[in-house]
Amino acid sequence: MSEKTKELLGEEPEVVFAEKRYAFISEILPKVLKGKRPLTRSDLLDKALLNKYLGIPVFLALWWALFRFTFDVSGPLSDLIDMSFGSLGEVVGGAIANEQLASFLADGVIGGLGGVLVFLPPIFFLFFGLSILEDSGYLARAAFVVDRVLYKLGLHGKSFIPMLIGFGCNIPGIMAARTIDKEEDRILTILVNPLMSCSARLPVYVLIGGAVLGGYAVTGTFSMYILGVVLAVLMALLFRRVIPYFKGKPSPFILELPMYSTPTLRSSLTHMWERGVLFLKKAGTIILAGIIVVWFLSSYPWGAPLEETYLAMLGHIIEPIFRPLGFDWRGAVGLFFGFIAKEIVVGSFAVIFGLGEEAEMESIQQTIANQGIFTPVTGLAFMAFTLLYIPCIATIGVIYRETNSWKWTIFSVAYGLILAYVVAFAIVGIGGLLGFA
Amino acid sequence: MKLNGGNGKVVATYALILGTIYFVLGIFEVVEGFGPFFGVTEGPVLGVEWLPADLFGGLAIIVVGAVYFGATPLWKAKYESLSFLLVSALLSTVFGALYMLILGANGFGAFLAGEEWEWMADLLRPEIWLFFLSLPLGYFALKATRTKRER
Repeated sequence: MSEKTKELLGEEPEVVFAEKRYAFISEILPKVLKGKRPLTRSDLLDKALLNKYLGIPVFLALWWALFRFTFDVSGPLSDLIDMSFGSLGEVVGGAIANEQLASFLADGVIGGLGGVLVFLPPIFFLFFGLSILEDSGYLARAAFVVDRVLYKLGLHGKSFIPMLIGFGCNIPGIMAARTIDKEEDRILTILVNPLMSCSARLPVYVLIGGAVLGGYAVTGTFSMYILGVVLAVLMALLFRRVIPYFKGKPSPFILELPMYSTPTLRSSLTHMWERGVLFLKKAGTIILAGIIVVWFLSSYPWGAPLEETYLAMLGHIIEPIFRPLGFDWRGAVGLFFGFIAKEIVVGSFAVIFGLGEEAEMESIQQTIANQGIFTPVTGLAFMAFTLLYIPCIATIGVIYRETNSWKWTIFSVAYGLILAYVVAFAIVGIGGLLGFA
Repeated sequence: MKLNGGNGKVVATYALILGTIYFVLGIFEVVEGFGPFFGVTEGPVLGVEWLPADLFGGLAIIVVGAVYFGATPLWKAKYESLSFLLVSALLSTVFGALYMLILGANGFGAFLAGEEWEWMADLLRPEIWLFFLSLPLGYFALKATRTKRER
């Protein structure tokens, strides 16, 4: 039907409708409005924010400000949660006589969960900042600004919104691709969406970056977000060129820009809560379950040294795959459990190091740094690997549901793993060549 | 307040000076951020203690400076150029507010950890005092622009 309409009109129907609508508006306006049309503040803001040369740099500058707000301003609140869980673990661990139960509660549940919940403030701050940008009307402009680039690179302008949502969580990001009409554009957007760094990867960046990148931790984290965007665009370009199904140009992007408005605190807080609470729910269910599994594997056979636990056995089996990337069995185990959900990576490190009772962020970072688990280069490679392989099991399920194809689902998992490996290997290789090994 | 030949020249000159300061400080921050690549691992590259080593932060304020440069046609009282003045003042506010929030967060963090708060380093962040210098331009931009279409 849509193909027939397109054939009849000679162009995409939306384009024709939009052109006709604006032609009609242009015809009426001079008849009802006399004199020179004055520019309002909203028009003036658009002139600079949508500027051909400055639009994208301004967008990136605002994005950077959002990141500093997310990480630096929320920092003390994370410390507060960290300290509270540390104290709670000590109290619970000391109050229970049964050694196994005390370890389960203090190291497994409280330590593991505390290690994840410290990331609640940055995640809420990120969503708060995004809500402000959205409510002000700027996000729609950002979509417009990046469309010029996206279109040239083979992505549909409407892909920007799913990609942006993907920064929060890839699941709604992938679902948001439903707004793209053309099947090929929609599947392409779904395939590259997991490369958008969702909030679940953030704890891993903060942990590893803080442990091995020192003063460059925030820069390293920001680089991951940029790397995700760059690779998403490159992959889209590659798929468009190489896979026959995606051949051709994306359909044009039509967007009616909303008016600028002053965001209200109430609405921004509401949006923040609606999105952030998903993380909270996930922390109480799938992440908690995953951490308990990690605790069990790292504690049994009971009383055995860590190197002889089931977890170490599993880690040693998969370690050879990750050795070329400079990750030992602990890093391999973290990535293995990251398949369930990325948040488990941090929780599993807390449990592996037996830091449950005092699982403060700093102690996990100090352990990573002191035991030389990662160097700055392998740490960066680990962050990149975390960014690029499939975000979580739930995302795989959504990809299948949205594409209704096992072929695309398996392809998405496979290319993510290969890309993660290649990029991590390249980081280690280039870092070595530059003398950072 | 209306934009005219007289105040346009003053505002354009002020925007040019402020844009240059932002631009130059941004470059300095980037250079400091690249310190380890120049083999400087301790102390400032340029020998200025208060300059932050902030690669992306430097690039961000280079952008602020570039947007200020876009406001220079105000010299000829070009109304459209107020757009760049509005956006640059907005960006100055975003970055000024951001670093003031970071200042407060660092203070709170130091209080929680029982450590001494080195507030001077945070307060010397150029984006904070450049924000205060941008206020007159922001005020002018708001007063000289229309919020609604007038007949």
